[in-house]
Amino acid sequence: MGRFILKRTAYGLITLFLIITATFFLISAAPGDPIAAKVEVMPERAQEVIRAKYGLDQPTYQRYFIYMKNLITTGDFGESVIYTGRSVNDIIRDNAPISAKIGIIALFFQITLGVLLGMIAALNRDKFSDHFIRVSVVLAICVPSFVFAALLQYFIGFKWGITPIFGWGSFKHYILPVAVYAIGGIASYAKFMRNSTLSVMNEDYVLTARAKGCRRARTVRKHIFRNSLIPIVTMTGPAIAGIFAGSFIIERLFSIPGLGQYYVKAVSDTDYTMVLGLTIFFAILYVIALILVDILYGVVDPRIKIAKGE
Amino acid sequence: MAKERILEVENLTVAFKTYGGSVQAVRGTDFYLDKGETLAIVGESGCGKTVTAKAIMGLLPIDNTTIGNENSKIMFNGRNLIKLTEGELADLRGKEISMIFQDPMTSLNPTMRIGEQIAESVLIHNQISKEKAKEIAIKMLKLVQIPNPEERYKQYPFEFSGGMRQRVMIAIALACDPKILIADEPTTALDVTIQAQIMKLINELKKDLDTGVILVTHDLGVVAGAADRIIVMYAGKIVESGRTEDIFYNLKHPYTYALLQSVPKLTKDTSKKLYSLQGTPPDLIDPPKGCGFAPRCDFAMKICSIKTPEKTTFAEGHEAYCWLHHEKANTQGVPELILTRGESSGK
Repeated sequence: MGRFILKRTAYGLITLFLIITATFFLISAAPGDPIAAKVEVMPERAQEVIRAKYGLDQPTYQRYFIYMKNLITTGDFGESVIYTGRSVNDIIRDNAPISAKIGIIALFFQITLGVLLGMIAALNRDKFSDHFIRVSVVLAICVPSFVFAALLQYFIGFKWGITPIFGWGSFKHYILPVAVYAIGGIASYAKFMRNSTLSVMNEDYVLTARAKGCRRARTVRKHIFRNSLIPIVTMTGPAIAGIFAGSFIIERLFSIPGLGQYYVKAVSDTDYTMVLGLTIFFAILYVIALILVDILYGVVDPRIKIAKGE
Repeated sequence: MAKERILEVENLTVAFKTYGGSVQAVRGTDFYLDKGETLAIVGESGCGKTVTAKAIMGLLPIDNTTIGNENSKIMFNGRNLIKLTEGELADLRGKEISMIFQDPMTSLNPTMRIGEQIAESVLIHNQISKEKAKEIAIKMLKLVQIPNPEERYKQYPFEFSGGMRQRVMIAIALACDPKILIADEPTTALDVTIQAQIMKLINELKKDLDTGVILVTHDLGVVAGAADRIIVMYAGKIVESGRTEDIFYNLKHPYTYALLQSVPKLTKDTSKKLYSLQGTPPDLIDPPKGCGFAPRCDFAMKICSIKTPEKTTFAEGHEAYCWLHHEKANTQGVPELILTRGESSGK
């Protein structure tokens, strides 16, 4: 186990290095200029001062070495070009937990409800509940989240006044964004779980279970459930990383000060340090999430032996 | 020797609804099984062997399957299994009637420990503690000759070879000491050397536990050493049945003849090509009116494809369904073996 984590961490570091390098040169090569984006008219002299402050007057490769040196020695992502005076690390520290809170709650409902609905649909194949769940799943996947957001805001928030329409602060502020965030995920998990359960139900070992006298409930609980979860584990990896990134659309619609908004804005502003810093942050989360998923695989499926470092 | 009859099947029919129509997979079979006896059901793929076996177990898909008509019976312990509910059948399965399957590689739950899969069968059917079930499971592993049963109990199926897994399947099937063991092609997916071991194990355990065995197979080599009686099936019907020696040495049906001709023999002249039966079994969505084998039969007459042949009895329990045994039959060119009457000479 220890060896496995060590090995995967080493690979993860190589992946991160490649991502940082690629992102750095790509964003430098991108057209546009953060200073120009910030203020349309600015005296030549002032621009030069600002450029010098961020080191933008130096050649790209030199900036790369400086950036890497700072990053490795101090873990500093640098100061935002747009949000003057705030470092990228501060912005992550202040805003990532907000995205994460919504994301974790939403992910919990996505997995539990999705798996449950998928199982119900599969076990009642071609009956009413199956058709109902399948139609709802297609709807939930096809209709964009901002439509759901608008509907919920109008009815639950405005018409019935159960929750605030937007904003951030109290427990009630969580309800709508979490619901909108979860709905698509519930549908995807339900769809995958249904397919996976149906294929497991046709496996020979399910017939063996029936042949030894297992009744339906026991067959489902002991022989079908765990085996159908295996493909679901694959899906959760990127989802775990995604929860910190938040959803730009949802954060925007509900005016939530999460990280998703900053990320999208940083790209349109060509805010070099922000884009780089946030990309690295998300990449680290991804790498960790994927290692976690591999460990989780071993828990669900004994055939995958992590203990031996394979 | 008076034998106790443990299973009696009468006029069993099975039909599957498909988009193309209703497939008449089994079209009225009658047979029985005595205590401690091995009955082999042979025939090529798609002739209804496995469906017959699964019908006895009640393991066919419920939704689009019709099992039996008003005259059909599967009598076991004074009960007609066709009439039982799913719950009543579940209580019988694994306890009174067990089944092992063709492919041991896929027949065990990959995420459950071997021992627990055996113990589960014991736990379902008996009011005993988990510790006691574990003890029985280890005893069963020992019985099917798996070394280090205590260690092996904790392992998962992927840590077992194919032959070992089939032994585990046998252990699961026999854990509750059933009266009938249905073995559906138990050796088909195994290496030839392992096949013999598994058949030997089934035979030994059958004798020790006095279990009746229904052996479903297309491999006549497997049957020869193991079966007491044989049923030959074709296109959903029994074409010939009798004691093993009758079927091998005194066969009475051209299909049985063709099956035996296509078995390679060590003593045979190797310069000649091995006999191969041409064609495929008929489509059972629209089953033939006459004898199902008629289109492929070398000795077919006009009547064969018009009318289903009657039963002809040759010796005690040796029966065949073929028009060749009618007194008006044209028997020119038919091997003498098929035509002769009387007891088996091979005995």
